[in-house]
Amino acid sequence: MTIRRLTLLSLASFTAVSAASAQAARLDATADAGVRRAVERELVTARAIGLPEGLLIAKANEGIAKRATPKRITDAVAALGKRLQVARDQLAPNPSEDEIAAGADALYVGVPAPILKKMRAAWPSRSLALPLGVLTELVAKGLPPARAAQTVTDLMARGATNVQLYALAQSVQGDVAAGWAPEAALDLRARGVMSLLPPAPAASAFTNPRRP
Amino acid sequence: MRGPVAACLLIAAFRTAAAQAPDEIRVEAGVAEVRQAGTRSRNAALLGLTWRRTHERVVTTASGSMTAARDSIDTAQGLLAIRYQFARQPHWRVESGIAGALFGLNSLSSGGNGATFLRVQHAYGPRGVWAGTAAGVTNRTGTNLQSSAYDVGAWGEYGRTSGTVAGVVTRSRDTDLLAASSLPSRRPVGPYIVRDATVTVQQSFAALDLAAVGTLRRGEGVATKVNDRAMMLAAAFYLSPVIALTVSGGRQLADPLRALPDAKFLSASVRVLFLRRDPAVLQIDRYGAIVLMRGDPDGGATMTIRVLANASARVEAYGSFSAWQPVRMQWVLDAWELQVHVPPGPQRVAVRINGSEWRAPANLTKVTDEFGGEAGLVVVP
Repeated sequence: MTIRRLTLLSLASFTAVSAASAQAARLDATADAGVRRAVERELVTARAIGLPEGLLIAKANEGIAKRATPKRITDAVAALGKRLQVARDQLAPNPSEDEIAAGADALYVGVPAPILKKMRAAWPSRSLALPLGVLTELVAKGLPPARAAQTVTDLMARGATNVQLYALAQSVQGDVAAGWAPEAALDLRARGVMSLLPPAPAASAFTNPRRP
Repeated sequence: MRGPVAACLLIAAFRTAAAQAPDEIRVEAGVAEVRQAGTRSRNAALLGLTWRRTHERVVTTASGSMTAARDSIDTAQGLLAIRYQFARQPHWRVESGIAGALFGLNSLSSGGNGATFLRVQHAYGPRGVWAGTAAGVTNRTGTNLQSSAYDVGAWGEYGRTSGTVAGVVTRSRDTDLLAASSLPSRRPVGPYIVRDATVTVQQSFAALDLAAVGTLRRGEGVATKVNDRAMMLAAAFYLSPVIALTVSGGRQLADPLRALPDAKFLSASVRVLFLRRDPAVLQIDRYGAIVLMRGDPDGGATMTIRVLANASARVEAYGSFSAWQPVRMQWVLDAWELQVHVPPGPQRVAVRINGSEWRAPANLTKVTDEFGGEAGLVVVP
């Protein structure tokens, strides 16, 4: 039994390494040997814990295309691996690859990890890829992460659609470009979206007819 | 005085129009001193308008120009062209459209003409060739006189230098029109064929474009040869990506179809580009790079990256959509452009000119990456 288990483990490990090597083969042909080895190591780890490897390869290729040093590339790939892992955990139980990628992007611009969990709680069964993208854009624009996250989460909880969230980000962007302070623009635009949404459950309890 | 006032009104009207729907409007207004052989110099007012709208692989362009000198140079011309870019053969383009002109000649009756044209282009990177044909009718005196034209040419860019070589053969039965437009010594008699070979060379510097255009004409009428040559020089100084001052001078040969007369001229004008009145679009950075999104029915969006730069520049874009591999942008009328389909979710985009540093398009949120570079972040709904 022990031998059989060891054999299976070895086979699984070999398969993972082979698959990682195959993925690494998609690396830019000009990749440094050290970069190639480091990426292969990250791919083995990613595969073992179920993270999307393609994102790691894309990050390495991005560094190669930008002619970054091998150390910078390996550091960036390793850091992305960590962010993907955190995003996957916070967006549990079954985040899609797009959600994990968007979550990692949000973490990169400074969104605290627990906020991802709150957003998942607000939309347990809908994709968070776009709300996370909107949040990333708002934070990158200079809004405090907690403030931006609170606004986006409130809108999600009130039933805002992806289109409304996208329009919110676009409007804030336009306002900031026109000279508005980011916080003021977010407040104004969020109130605008909020006014189009149905009342919150607590308020609707008083307005909707009740059955005896 | 009425000329400049009318020009200002037209500019204001078209600026208002730009706030509605069109993607771009370019206005060029100026003055010129024109002198035809045997006549004294006259001042002329010039006004040119170009409107363009891009919808996926179809580019619609409409343009018009007016020259008013209260002499034999009063002309108004219009052009509507539709260009289609094949999806599966990205190197091939087909352009078709209609062109029209109205003219008034003191020495001859006023009139107009209309023509349809078809042109096929094969572009490979910064070089390409084209072949086209046009057929039209000129009407001055109530009688329709047919005309036709064929043209072939090639263009190419080599660093900051670009060039075009073109050959045009024009046939027309309206001999009087060409005669009235030409120098007295070169007036043909009877139906004629005009063959023009034109070479254009343009050199770009940081904010300055210089161009030279030389034309060699070999023509034949029933009884008279129409051989001639002309040279024109032009310079455009860019005050910003959307405003340029232009100066040009030289000699233009008579246009056998549109009644533009053979004349020496010196002109100065201002060229202004109006973009759609979108706050994001109006924020033009030093590169004048913008990204526009249009949702696709099957999900995702078509992302159009547009860069305002000199025509001879080398302009590239890259981002998550291209796995960070630089993609050469295409010159479309008066800007560099790239259209790609992108899936829903966050996308990062950057552009660069002539191999310089990668920059985020001005209307996107700027983010720095782990490699010390910057890119624009856009969320695709």
